[in-house]
Amino acid sequence: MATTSIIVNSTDTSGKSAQKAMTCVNPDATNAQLAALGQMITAASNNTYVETFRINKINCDLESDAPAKPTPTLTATVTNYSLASFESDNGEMIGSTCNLTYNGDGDIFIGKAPIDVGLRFKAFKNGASIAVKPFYIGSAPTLTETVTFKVGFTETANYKACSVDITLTA
Amino acid sequence: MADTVKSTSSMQLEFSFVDGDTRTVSIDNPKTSINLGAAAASIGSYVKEHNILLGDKTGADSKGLKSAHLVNQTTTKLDITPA
Repeated sequence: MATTSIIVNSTDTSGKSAQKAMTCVNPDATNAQLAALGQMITAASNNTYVETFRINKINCDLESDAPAKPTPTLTATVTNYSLASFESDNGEMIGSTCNLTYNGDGDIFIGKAPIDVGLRFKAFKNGASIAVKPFYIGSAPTLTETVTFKVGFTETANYKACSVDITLTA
Repeated sequence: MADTVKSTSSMQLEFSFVDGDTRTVSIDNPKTSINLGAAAASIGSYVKEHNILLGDKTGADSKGLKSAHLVNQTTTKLDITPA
């Protein structure tokens, strides 16, 4: 924001110079108006008017938002499961594992599927990756349509949220 | 040594602004013969007419002079030399 001030110089009766500063002067005021005000102020006093300075201050500070959080890199080895690629073993579907690599610091989440197909998902650390695997309890689910769900990581102080869509077909 | 008495005076003009803010401008060493009302009125109307002074909180426009005071102050430097 640009601001304007004036300094009115005058001389007092003993010959000493005196100054009167006024801040928050309208930047749109003309020089003549400011000088006239300086003269009026001095005229109300015993001092003798000398000069008026106009000071325009332009604030050059750059205001910016906090640095944008980086989007972490999230890659998935499998984004399309087929139910047929799993076989049940004590309630756990053994087969394709979706391995995620992620370089952020968020918490993993598995989004809600649009329909409940009776599948559950678990995520576990698998070496350097994070594995996401569906499983079921009881009888094997049947899929009549493709189910898409999100696997992602929450936003943190350091990273944006990110997610990957994973589809499951019959 | 006797006490040293120093007299100072100032004219204090209080301006008001459309955001409700007020600012006091102090003018030192006013003329002893000053007609406070006339002097304040002429400065006040000039400031308002040209919107020269802005409020120092939000930069609000001038509403004009609110009040004017002449302040006479006596400062006495006390002599503490033992009698």
